[in-house]
Amino acid sequence: MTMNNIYSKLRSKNIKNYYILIFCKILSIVLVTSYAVMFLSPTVQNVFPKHGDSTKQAYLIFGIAIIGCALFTSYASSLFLKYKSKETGILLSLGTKKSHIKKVLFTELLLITFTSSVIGLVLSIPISYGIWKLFQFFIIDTREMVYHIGWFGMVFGIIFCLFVTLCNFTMAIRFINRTNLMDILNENKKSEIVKSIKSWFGTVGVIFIIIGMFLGYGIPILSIRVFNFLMPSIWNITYLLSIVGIYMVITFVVVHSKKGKSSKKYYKNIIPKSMMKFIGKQTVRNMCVLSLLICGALFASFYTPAVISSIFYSFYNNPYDYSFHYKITENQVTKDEIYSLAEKHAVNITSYKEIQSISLIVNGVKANFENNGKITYDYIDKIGYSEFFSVSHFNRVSKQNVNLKSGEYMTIIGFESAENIHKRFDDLNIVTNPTNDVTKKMDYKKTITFQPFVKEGTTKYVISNKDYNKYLKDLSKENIENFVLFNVENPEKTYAFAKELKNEIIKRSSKKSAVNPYYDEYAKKIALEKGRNYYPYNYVVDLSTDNNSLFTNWKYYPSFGVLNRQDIMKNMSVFLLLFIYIAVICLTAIGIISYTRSVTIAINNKTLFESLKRLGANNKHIEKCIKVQLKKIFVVPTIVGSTVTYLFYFFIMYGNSGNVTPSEYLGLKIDFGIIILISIFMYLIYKLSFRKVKKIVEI
Amino acid sequence: MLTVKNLYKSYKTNNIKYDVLKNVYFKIHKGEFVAVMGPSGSGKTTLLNTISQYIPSDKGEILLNGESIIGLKEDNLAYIRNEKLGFVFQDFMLLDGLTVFENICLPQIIADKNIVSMESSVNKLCDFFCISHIKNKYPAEISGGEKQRTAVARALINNPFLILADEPTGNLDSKSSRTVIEAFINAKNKLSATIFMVTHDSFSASFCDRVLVLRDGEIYKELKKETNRTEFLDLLLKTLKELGGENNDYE
Repeated sequence: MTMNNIYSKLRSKNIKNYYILIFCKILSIVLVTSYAVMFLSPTVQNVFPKHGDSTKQAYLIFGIAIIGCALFTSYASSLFLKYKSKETGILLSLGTKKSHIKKVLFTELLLITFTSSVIGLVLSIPISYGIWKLFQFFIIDTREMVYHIGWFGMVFGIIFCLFVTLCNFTMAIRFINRTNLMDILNENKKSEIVKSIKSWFGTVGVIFIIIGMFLGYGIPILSIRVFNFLMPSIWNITYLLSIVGIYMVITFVVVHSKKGKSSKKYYKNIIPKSMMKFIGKQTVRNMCVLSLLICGALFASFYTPAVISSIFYSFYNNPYDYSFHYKITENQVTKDEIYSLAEKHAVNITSYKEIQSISLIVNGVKANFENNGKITYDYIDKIGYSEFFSVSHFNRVSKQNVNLKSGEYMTIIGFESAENIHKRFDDLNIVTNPTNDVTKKMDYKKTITFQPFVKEGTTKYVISNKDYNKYLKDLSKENIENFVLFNVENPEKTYAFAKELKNEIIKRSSKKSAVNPYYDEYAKKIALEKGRNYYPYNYVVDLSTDNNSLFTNWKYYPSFGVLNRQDIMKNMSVFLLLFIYIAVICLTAIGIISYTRSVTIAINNKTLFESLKRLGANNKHIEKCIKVQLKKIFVVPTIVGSTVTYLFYFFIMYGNSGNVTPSEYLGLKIDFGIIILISIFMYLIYKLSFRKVKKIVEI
Repeated sequence: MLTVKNLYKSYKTNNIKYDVLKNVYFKIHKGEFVAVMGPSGSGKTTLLNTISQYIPSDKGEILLNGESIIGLKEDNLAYIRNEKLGFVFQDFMLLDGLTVFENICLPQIIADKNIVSMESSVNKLCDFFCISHIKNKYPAEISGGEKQRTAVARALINNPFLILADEPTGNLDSKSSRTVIEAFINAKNKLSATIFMVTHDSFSASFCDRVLVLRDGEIYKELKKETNRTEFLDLLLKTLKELGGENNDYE
């Protein structure tokens, strides 16, 4: 018999521990890599705006999921080393050389890491493909959702594997390099009691959570608004204060017990409380990871309601069921054609209106982000085109009574429009006629709300009839747009008509109009003259009727309420897929970690439960002891994670516009529903874990 | 055989230093069976763990057969633990995945000794300690006394200079304790083993040739068995009663 035989016998005896570690590693690698493969695929990257909020949110949530997965793998490794400690200690005490044990341990770890990394990386592709296909099968299948592998995602996965390996090996080195052999020998007997804490600990934790969020999110916004200063990315580190706060709150809940007023309750829970305290460090760490993952799952799930509620709100509050616009140089559908199409679909058109707008060059302010963080603003006399309506045209379609003198203007805004660092409502001072380059000073009067004219990209204004007619005289047809607005009877029943009309509009649009909402002819001209790259110019819009991304990417996409309401899931499919996938990653990890934790509690305390039985405790009492512990593991992270995320989302909503808009309220209500759904998910896992625990402790 | 000179050991907890061993000095001769007794916290187990260098000492000398074992390199220490020392733990410390036979073999396997001679030595020891009938069983399948006798056999397999035993009867009932003590006596008488045992149990200690009584990290008294075992037991009980204090386990 050789040492190799001994090691292989020991391995087969403890094979379960090896499997647990391999499983945890594979799971975390699969979750992280499959997400990265999907997120960094051309399909998703083409849809996500380069520096947009959605992209930042996706990275933030992904960051949370990575931290969760890394912690979860490190936890599994520490448990593995704990199980190995007795064997290592005995072999050392019997005279095995430390270098030899180190070699064996590192070889084992290397094999485990290599195997799990390879399996995890390889599995991540079919799993991401499977989830993608399931999503297409059960939720939405659109033309845009073509599965592509983001190979950079694999590189990301490999980096994650290396990072996790580094963490695991550091832990192993620290484990084996201890000089006190008794520490190694007694490692698995070591209790991890958290020191008793004062009653203020929990309150301070809550304060830290709020301060962390304020510092991380509120200060950068204030800094931009008040000091014109962009905080450096390192400032995001202040969010860590919130994580410290979460740790403090959870530690308080797990460890703190005081007789207080209800001494009956204190004595009733004294056994499960002390059991939790005994393994306090592990429990707190575990519950923190669960809370963070719940934050990630919720944050990902909140994205869709936020976007959809805002779109829905603008549709439902739109005074026109149908509206679209086009340059008059386009050979677009005429009024007669629209009416005959309506007749074909038995749709009754009411209040049909057509008005024209003119495109004039306006002045503007360009925000520049300097390397030192300072935001400077350049005033530019001619920044790009804006659309202008005459007072009479505007009053006719909006049924409002606007009066303006020559030289005055009003800015058209939507129900929830807000100023930001790039755009203020009164930015316009000078208008230039693109034909003769004659400029005119303009005075801001006020804003006027009219939702159908609000669209991302171009700001629209109302000017006096006199000014409008004066400009119109000299303008070329290229600078005139036609706006068509009408209502229909029973709009919800006009889907087929809307779809055919939309398709007709797309078919008739020329290549020249295949531009994105931010495309500006004048800005492009200036950029090209100066030899600069003009991003919206390079962006080619694919004008085909089954291209759902036109909803967000095409400047002339028609706004047909019934169509947009019913097709919103299709139009946002890629966003939905990605955020639902992150939520799935987080929920999977939550399920596994909480279930494993529950089983560990059962295994660790089995002897103790047996002793309690010997002391006369019946099954009901044991069941209660288990329930108190499991409830904490499931309930506390759910409450902490949900509250923190909900509060943070509220901060974001408020920070966006300085108040919470009606659509944001709607979004927050849906978010609350999601919290309830996740709570139900946690309850189901709790039930499942409880059943398993009962089986283990034989009650 | 073993000389411990001016040994010091302290622990630090929350920046407070606790002196556990203070100027400990004693000698153990070949073939002697010596016990260490004392109240809880008197430093008995720490003394044993420092002698085996499981935990490093702060100051002093430990000489095994005239050679210092303090400050040795890891590999040399491993050699000493394998060849010169045998250790018996209170909670047996057998590897659950190995049979009784394999557990006893371990020190020889570690030393890469000849398999034929190893198997014969293990069989002899199994016979000697009356555990042959369980040699193919796993630790989970045998009694506490049998586990401890297995541990003693494992400690003796390499014919070490010294066997260090930490509360070997601490987890056992009186019958099993007796068998373990008998195993030590047999090892001493028939195999000329030198044994240094930490114990709380005056009855077990009464079988020893000498008892060192520790108090607050210092040797309080050294008792020699000069008459018969019963009288020695009385002497031990009397001495331990003298120790008094709130931590005295013997009152």
